[in-house]
Amino acid sequence: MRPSDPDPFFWIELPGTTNNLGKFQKFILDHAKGHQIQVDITGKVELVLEEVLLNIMNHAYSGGQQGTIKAGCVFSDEGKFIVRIIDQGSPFDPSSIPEPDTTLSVEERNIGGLGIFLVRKLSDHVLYKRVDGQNILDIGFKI
Amino acid sequence: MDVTSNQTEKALIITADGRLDTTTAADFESKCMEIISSGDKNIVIDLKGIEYISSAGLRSILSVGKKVRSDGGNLVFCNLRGMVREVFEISGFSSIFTIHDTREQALEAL
Repeated sequence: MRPSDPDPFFWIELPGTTNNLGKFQKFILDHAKGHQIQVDITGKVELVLEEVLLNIMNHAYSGGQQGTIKAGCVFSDEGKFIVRIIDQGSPFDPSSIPEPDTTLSVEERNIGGLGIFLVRKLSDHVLYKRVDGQNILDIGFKI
Repeated sequence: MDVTSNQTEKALIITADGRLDTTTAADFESKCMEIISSGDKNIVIDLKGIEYISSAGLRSILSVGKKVRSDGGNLVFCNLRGMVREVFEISGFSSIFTIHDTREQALEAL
């Protein structure tokens, strides 16, 4: 996309607090369902939104730092449903998080690290950029 | 979150309905912990009524699993639907826990 192109995304911007999670999910899912995306894809989109947004709300905007989150979506020419999440919190590249060892036993398994792992596994691509003090995360789903 | 239990001859069966997400996981976990404190060693969690699970839900299930194992018990799951089954498989929960297609199969295998 060239800088001069009109922004093709549909956006919602709200304070990055956990009570807004459902509003973000509803906005994106309503848009997806309006284009008759299959139910198994919308379930994945819903889960990915929960994991990514909670991560920003609980970590990027922690320690008294306040800010908004922008979430947008678009159907790409390549046949994907793209979700873009933008926040002004501390830098966070999801691909920097090591994958949890899913072969460990119940006793050995650690409680953390599963959310970002699910985001990577349930989507078809995850692309992170840090631009002008903002985290920009694109997550694509084949439709 | 609606969590109910049913004591049978072979096992204590826990049934949950709805979504296992960030808003319900803690409630699910505390209700399960209360139910399993009865001391039964064989626990079946029937997930037929669960349509959505996130990592918060997985964490609550892992906590319950750790508790049952540390008490020397046996925890199995049954009736995983579409997305719940997929999330169990991706996260490795299908291999660390025993999963059965139906409640009858879960009870037979105990």
